[in-house]
Amino acid sequence: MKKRILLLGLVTALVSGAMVGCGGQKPYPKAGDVTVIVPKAPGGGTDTAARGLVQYMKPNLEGVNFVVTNKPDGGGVTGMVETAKAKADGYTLGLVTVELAMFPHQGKANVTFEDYIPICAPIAAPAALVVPADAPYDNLDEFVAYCKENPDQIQVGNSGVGAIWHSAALAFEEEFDVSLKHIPYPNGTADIAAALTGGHINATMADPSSFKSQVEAGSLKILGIMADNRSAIYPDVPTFKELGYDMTIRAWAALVAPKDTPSEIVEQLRAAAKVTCESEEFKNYFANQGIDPQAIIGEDCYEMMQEDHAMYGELLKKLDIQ
Amino acid sequence: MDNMRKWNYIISLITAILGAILIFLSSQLGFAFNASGPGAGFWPGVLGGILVVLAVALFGTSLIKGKGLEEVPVVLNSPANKRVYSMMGIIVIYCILLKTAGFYLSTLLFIPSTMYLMEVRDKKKLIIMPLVTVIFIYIVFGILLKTKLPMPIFMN
Amino acid sequence: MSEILAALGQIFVPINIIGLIFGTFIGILIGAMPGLSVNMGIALLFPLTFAFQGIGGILMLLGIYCGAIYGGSISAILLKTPGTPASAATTLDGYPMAVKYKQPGRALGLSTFGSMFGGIFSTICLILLAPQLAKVALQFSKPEYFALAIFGISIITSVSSGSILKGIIGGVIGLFISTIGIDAMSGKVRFTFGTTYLMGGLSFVPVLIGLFAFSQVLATMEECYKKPYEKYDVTINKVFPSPSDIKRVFVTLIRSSFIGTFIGCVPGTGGDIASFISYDQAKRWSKYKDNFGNGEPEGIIAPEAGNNAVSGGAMIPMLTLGIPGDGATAIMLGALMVQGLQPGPLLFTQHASSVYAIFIGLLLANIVMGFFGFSLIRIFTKVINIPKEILLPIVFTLTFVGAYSYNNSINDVFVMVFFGFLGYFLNKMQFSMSAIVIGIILGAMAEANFRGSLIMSDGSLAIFITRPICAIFLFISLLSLLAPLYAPFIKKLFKKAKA
Repeated sequence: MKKRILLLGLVTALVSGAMVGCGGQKPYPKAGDVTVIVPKAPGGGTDTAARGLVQYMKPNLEGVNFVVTNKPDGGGVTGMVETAKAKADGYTLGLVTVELAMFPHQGKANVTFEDYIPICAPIAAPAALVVPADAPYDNLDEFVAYCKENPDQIQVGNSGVGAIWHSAALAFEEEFDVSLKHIPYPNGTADIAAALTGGHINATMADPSSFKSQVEAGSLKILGIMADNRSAIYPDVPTFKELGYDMTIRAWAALVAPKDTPSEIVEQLRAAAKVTCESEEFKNYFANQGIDPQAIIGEDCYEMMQEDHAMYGELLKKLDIQ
Repeated sequence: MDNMRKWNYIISLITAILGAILIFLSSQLGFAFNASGPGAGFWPGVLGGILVVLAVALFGTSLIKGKGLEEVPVVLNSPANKRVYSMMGIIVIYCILLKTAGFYLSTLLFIPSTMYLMEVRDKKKLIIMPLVTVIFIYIVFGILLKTKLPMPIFMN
Repeated sequence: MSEILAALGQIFVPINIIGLIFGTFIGILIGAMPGLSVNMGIALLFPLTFAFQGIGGILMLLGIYCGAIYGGSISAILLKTPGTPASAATTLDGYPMAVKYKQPGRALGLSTFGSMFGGIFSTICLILLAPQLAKVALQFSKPEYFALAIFGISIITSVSSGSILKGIIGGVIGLFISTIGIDAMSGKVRFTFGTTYLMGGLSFVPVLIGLFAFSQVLATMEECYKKPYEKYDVTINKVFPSPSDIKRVFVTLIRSSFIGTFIGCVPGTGGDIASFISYDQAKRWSKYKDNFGNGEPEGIIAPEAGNNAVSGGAMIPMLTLGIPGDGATAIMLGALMVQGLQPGPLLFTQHASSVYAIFIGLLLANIVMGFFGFSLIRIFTKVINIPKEILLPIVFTLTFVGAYSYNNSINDVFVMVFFGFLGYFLNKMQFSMSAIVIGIILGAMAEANFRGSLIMSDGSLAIFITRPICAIFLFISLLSLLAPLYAPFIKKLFKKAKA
């Protein structure tokens, strides 16, 4: 009996010791794995962006070993909260999405952009107005005119009520004083692409990367893009700004660290991210998937999160979305 | 005296209550039809209603045609069951331990306890099995897949 | 012709073949382990594909995809624990044949054969009929999805082996479970009782593991109480199904493969729905319908052929339209694009050899999968003989690890335990776990598309009747659901006609 307890105790001590012992006093980031918490399921847009980013950041930050961990439960909130609450030693980072700017106003989350220090945002997909190629309008003004003549008739697909593309469509209604019919597709933009191609809805205002194949094949066309600059992938599409309407709605995902992370570590990460986002392989990786790669680093990223937080605060209050 | 007929009555009662609670909670979400279609409470409310109907049907059929059901035993008290209940107890303790002592330590205790419950007394088996299993999981999940299994709270 | 040769040249490069074989093997392992999902496996190995030139990485992903759908059946048959949701239906007849009738080899052989056949059949459909099938898939809008979901739900009457009434109750409870969380149609949060965790709804895989695996281990614990250890003779002479078995299941095989290919083709539906619908249809049309749930060979072939046929089917909208058929093909879509191959109408004209390479790759993956399956059957069947006091604690531990790794969430583990306990008692009360699971799988699809259809029709219910595909499915579902009521009358009619 004694021997058994002794043996069990020895084994337990050994196992625990092995787990603790791997820390050591090495400089950042060599002392262990850097966990990146992705608050979305594997294979989705945010996840592939995160995996791509850390893949290309590896050679630019000596000795780092990124481990991507998916924590999609709680609608993405759990993962974001966990990143905010993690130990601020640089070994836990996370992704946050534009929902961070929306959820607090809807009572769905207690964290805001102020709980994080952003490193960089590799993607910031703008809302693009996509319609079937044979639709009776060829540009934004014609589309708006058609909407005014046919109120409540144009069916616009989105990814869920209260989610980003719905907000984009509502902001559209507000800006142009038209009335649209909103059709939610909870399973994401792939379903919207199927519905548009099949002719079941008239338009959508969503991330253009899901429609690349159809646009190139000529079955869909993009009338405008709610971004600051033209897309490198669709250079012929005007931005709403160029056409005179100041609308910028982006679904961004940003790599962040908890807010008290030491500034030397943050600088290291930001420097590595900058090099990565400007590299050819990184840009090609995203461009091939139809996504415009971004290089929104550090303070620029913080400003973007701040602006969006304020914008959605106003927008959602005005539209009274629950 | 545990037979299927008696349990059918109990089940219908529970189902009816569940249905009623569902309808109540759904009404708070709103049944109304508006521009975005039926309210959030419509579908769950209908489900609650169906549950109540099914509960009544179950009760009714057990009452009317249920004589045969009295022959069907529902075993809940035998020594075999008691062992399952002890197992459930071990599992609950294991869950609590998972949050406090982390995965590896808790599992090292869980596996031998389960084996002991199943009347294994061979000391060698009781020690080697958990070790082998935990090491295997560590290699496959910890190292290969880099899954971070829960760690003891004194290590965070 | 030259493109086919070019394709063969692309494939039969040593590293690509190794990648394909490796991927298939890993896929089978991922599939067999509950809690490891296909999407996770493909997402994890996605970066590896960068190391491959050209089509090699895609071949590896195809291998994982096919292997994983098949792998789930192994644990489904041996442990009544579906390794993937698509294998839940295989437990219904696979487990009884393996354990009750002591024929694990036969069950595994049938499952491997069915999976391989379904996969190859759907690949041939992909090659010959892709554009046509894609056109049909595009006809599906919200009313059609709703009707399909209702059709799937009507299967509850078929899988409830105990009491049909309790089966329907279970199904409705499953439908309810799927409503927990953020309601995408209104933005409101439902039934979360203020917790953050429930905002995302109850994760499906932990619930599945709880209801099937966990409760089964508890039940086995009860069954083997004070029973002496019996070693069963599981020597197998041949792993391939016998000619009499093949003859018996042949029609089911073809039918299930069609069903799986079609379901795979419709974006947003996957192997889980296909396997249940195949099972249901097999039972309805079989001469041996009373043997279902009791180790009927058709009951194993149907879901396995159905779920693997989804693999070829899901590639159809992905390749022809650039619209993924399910989560795994969505990742593969990204992988293709990274290699510079743009799926969609232009792919067939601009990169024909790569398309042929994908076709041939799929065929090969299925063959490799079959090869691994058959050769490992002898090893797998030995699992039956592992003493319960060693097997059960290990399976318990694996369920915990699996439930945790799915989302890296300890709450999922607690959910699994809860449903495990619940499932244990529900099983005793003659509830059907499959019914509950069908409700959970199809609930969201049914509700979202019901409400979405009404938005599109401005509140008019006529939309469900005026659209032909939708109306047909709804009508068939109604017939299915009411069958227990009028079937006795029809039988009497036939008897009178004969006399």
